[in-house]
Amino acid sequence: MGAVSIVHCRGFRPYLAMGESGAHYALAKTGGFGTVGGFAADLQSSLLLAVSNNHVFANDNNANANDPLVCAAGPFGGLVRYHPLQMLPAVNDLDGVVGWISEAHRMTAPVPVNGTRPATRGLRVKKFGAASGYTTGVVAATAMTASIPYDKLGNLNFRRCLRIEGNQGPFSVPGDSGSLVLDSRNAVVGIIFAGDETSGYSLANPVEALTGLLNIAF
Amino acid sequence: MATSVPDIATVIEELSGRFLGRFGIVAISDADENGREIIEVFVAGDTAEAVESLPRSAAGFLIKVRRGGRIVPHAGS
Repeated sequence: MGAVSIVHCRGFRPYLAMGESGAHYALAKTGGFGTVGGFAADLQSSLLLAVSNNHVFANDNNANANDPLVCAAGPFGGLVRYHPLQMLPAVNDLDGVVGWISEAHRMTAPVPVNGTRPATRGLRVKKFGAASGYTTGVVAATAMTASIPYDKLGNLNFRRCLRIEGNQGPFSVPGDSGSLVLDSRNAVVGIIFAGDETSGYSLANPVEALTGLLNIAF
Repeated sequence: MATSVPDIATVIEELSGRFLGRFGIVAISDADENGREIIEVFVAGDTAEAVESLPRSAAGFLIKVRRGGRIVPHAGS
């Protein structure tokens, strides 16, 4: 057998995929991860940004701008900004964050995202998550409040959440945080951030909070 | 004189200020029951104390108690 030589390919660019695993570097060091939910236009610059949860890309408020963000293949970009998670007695509207993507990466998505729409009860939805992949479900509620224990911040209260029931098993599982919730026409209706430990429903923040509080557009 | 019906989200937020985090209550939600809007209260563990403490209805919306688990952030490890 002949010798194997390594040839550097000109123009090779790694992919960053909607629905793949991603995390703040400090979270990744501990083995934690969530999902690169998708990509959105920054209304404060000309950048296209990666979207996820604060507790995934900003390590529960414990992060600074340009902190490295990593995916399974390694670093892909850095933190741009996050909506701060607020401790009690404040009530939260969003667990959200955006990060820049290095020019070396090409973005890819299993479906073309097609704008936004407000969620309504009974709306059929889907998501692409790093842990459970593609799942479908139904929006069961649009005005849920919840008390959720965060590792570094204690119990946090949220309001006006979407409650989503999976069609076949859970809609999301740990590792799916940050997944965008899409309707049948691929419009964004929310972003997954939590779920019930036993009965399998998922919680998402509505897209109005995601776009309004982070100043982004899909 | 007509009286205005409060939005269910506003009623849920008012109830949450009083009950969320107490009696094992982890979430309060709107829901559809046979075409009627109701309020569901999710309790992690035994529901008896929550059932005793909660009103039967709020602003005309029926309140039902559901047993569930804790709600946790969905980051993986």
